[in-house]
Amino acid sequence: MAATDRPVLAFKQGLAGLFKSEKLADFTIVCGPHTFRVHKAILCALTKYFDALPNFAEGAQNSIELKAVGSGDGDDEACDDPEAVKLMVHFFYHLDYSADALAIAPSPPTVDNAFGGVTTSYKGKKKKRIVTHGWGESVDDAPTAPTSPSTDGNMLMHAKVFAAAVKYRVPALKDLAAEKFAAAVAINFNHASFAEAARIAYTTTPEDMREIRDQVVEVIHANAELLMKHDVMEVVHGDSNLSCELLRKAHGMSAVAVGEEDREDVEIALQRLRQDISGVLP
Amino acid sequence: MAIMPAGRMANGCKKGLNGADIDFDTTWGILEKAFHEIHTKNASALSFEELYRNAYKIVLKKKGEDLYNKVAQFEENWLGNTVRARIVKNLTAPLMLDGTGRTLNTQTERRDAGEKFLKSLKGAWEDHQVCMGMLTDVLMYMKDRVYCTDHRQPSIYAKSMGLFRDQILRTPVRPGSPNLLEILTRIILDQIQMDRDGEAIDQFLIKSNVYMLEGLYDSDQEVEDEKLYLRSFELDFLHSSAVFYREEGERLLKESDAGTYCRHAKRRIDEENDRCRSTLSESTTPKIQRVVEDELIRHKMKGLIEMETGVSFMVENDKFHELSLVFDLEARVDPRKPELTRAMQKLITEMGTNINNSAIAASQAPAQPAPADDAAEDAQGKSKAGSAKAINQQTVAALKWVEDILGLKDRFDSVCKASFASDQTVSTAINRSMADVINAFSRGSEYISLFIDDNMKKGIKNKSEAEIDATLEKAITILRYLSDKDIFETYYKKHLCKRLLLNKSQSIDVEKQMISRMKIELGNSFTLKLEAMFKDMTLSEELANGYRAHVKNLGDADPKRVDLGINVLTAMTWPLEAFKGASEHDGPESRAQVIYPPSIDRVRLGFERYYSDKHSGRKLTWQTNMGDADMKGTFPKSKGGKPRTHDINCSTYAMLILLLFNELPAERSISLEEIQVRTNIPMSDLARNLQSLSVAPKTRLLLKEPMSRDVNPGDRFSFNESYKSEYIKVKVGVVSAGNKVEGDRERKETEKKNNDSRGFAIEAAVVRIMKQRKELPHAQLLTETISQLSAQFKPDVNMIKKRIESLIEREYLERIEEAPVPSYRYLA
Repeated sequence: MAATDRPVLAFKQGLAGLFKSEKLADFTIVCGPHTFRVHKAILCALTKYFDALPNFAEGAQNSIELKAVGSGDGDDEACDDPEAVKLMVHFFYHLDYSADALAIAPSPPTVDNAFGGVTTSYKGKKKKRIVTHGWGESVDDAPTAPTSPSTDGNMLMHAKVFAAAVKYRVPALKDLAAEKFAAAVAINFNHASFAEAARIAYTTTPEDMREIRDQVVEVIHANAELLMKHDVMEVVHGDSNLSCELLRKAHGMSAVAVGEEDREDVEIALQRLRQDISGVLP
Repeated sequence: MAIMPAGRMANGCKKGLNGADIDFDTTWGILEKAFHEIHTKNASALSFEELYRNAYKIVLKKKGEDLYNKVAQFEENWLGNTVRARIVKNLTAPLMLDGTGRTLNTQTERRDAGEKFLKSLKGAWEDHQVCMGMLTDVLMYMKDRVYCTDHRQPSIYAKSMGLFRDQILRTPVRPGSPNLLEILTRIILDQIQMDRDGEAIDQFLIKSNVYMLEGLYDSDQEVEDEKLYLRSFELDFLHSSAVFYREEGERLLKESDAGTYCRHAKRRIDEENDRCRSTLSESTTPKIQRVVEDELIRHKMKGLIEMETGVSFMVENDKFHELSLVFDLEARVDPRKPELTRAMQKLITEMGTNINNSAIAASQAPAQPAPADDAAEDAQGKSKAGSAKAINQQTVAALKWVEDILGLKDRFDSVCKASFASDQTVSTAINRSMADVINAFSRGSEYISLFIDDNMKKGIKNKSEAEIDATLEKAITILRYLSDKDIFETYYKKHLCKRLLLNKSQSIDVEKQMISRMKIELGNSFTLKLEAMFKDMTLSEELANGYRAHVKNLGDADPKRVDLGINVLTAMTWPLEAFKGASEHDGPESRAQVIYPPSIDRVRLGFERYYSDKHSGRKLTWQTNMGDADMKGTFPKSKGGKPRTHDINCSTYAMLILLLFNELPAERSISLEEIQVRTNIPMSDLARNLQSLSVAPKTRLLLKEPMSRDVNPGDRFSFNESYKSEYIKVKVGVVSAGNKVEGDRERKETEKKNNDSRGFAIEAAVVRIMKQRKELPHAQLLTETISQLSAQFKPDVNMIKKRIESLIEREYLERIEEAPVPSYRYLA
């Protein structure tokens, strides 16, 4: 380890120690079954959300209760998963987190790459090339690798953490969760939890949060066999955004319109259509 | 209300998973209630988590736009109803009527009413900002993500600020009456006016309101230079300030003196600076400065300078500090200080013209009877004495002129130093005006030379080196300004010539110092001839000594031998006409050889031989008219006394005349004509010398028959045996050779001569230029000639043209016929 990293390491250790010991903790976060003793200063360093508290009741009480999913009134999208909150708080003090590892689901043997390789369609795009850091390989390089020791494959939890990071405005965590989500989805899209992860991605974040939505669209597009799964189809049915994006994808366009680029995409799609038609006609 | 960007296809499929389920109104109800609490300052009981979650939920359900509109509507109602009503309540009726409440009785009442309004507005603004801060925290997602970037809407914060502007400031208090922004502007302006009048006001209160105006924009786009402050208040402020200062400036010009005005203007500028800092906005500082500078300085400078107590008064009374105030003021608005510079130049010209005029008046004033100080002149009749006095008076006038001019320069130099920080522009202008004044005076060259002459002869006597230095420096100072340096050179040569030959100079060292100063100042070529004169003097001394030694070596020890002191002068260098009296106007025949008695002639021939041995091929011309002689005269004893001897010092001519009488019996008399024949002295010189010898009572060595004041043809002269004098040494004065101001005719001659020599200089320059350039257009030849000669004098264009004509006639040049512009060609 380089000498310059030593202070960083020491700081990280100190930070972790603070979390563990709860020393000087001046604020309490409650979510579902969990209670965390935390430090306002550290919260404020990572998120804007807690800046606003002093004017409100939470500021006076020095505690906040984050409403947990399933705690009553039916609008769970805006509530939090206690486990995700736990990981978020963990992140505040460790600048990283890890979810429970899932077993990697095997690919169904019936389906091969008849719909065009993920690799080619993925590489053909000029954007959204997500590279994971600290996780070994990039998504592009090994999207279909059957196993990878570097990911827990728990795309559902990463989607939840991502949603929490968005809601509580923790940009660093948001990026990290998106990376982890991408790595997990890439190898584990056949897992039963994929449908739920896709639902979380499309319902618990504002629609302009593209990071994990893009992953979902890509994976479904590249692996058409997913559309044969009942639970996945249910999610696609239920969310008009997701349906639209898949449709655009099928036409070779980007999932969402992006200004000028979009027009280009439409042109290309139309051209391809014409070629297909001319090939069919005598 | 939001415009959908084209191609946003994702929005086309609107229904979300649970989109239908969300009860927007319920959620909004929670938020609205909370917002009300926030606006009534009861936020501390609210749960941020709940509000944020609800707002977030609306955004997740893609109802953000509805939420935005709801919030905007809520703010509009709140501001328009609750807040505005509260402020209007604090607006007393008089304020509403005319904006500033002029109808209120006292200023204090007016101020209090204004402050009450300002306070309520300040409070409303600050509350609004705090509340909106909290609202945007709750609406964090809506604030800067969903709405402002995607839909090109102002953020909800900006929107609410726009609502404040529209609902509070821009809505009329009641139909037909001014809106709050107008009232606010008028109240602030009124308070600033109080501040200017010396009343204490609450600066911070105004500043708070200014902050508000600076935080609001003309439109919801929030363009930086469209702040409400800039768009509305500042314009009014600058306008009303301009009106105020214009009037104040005009009043002060009428009522106070210039010094007070300057101080006041300076104070006003500082005040406005402070005001911008403490009460308004720093960004206004340069603008209000410009206004005050325009109204109090730029537009008033001329009036200020021309005040009775203005610049000329200050200069005359040495008000250096006030002058520096004027300077500072104008320097502030224009680095070239045009008005002040013009005023200084005008003053110098005025004062300089006065000096010039009084010098002319003094030199032309009728002679006043002066105490007899010179025996010879005294005797020579009134008209003669009168004119001599007049000449003397002119010399005094010349000296006075020089001193006055120097005084003028000193005065303005010290003003420039003390008041204008030795400013380059002003001092250049002062110098230019000094030069104009000096060159406008036609006798400048002569007077400067006379000034030096007088100092060399008398002035530097008994003075320390430093004092002498200062005197020389004075002369050089004026000299620098002189453009016709060639004329000065002519006079200086003439005066120097007399000083050297007549031994009038106090110190040859100082003379040489002067020359070397001139050399530094005016260049080598200027002093060349002057230095040659000194060289002649030195050589002559050596020559005379050499000759004396030579005579001694000859062993000719004749005790009666006449001793000879001699100056051999190079003819071209010395202005020998200087020795011609004013009345002389001799033709060339006067140069005819004088007849010397043998004793004298022997010496003369002896020297000529000696000289031609040393320098073959040189011709010596004897300038008898310039010499003088020491003689010993023996007079028979009177009754009961010894024979008396006197040492007589007289001119060479007088010596020749007296020597004639040596050979005559005492009683014999000879006529004027006879003397003339026997000496061949030019008649006018002869008459003058005879006058000195026979008319002046103290040196009446000869008797004249008949006795009258003037020497007339046919007069007879005899030796005066009974001459008496109480002194052993007698000096026979001849109407003489002091350096005085020229008479009119002399001046004309000098001028003519000067013009001639200028003509030559011009021709020489033209030929030089043409020789080098071969062909040249007329205009260019003119400029080059002028620039070549500028060190010596400013050539007259007509003169140059004439000289060119003359050169063409003499075939040095020819006109180039085919040239598009008049041009010349050099003919080798």
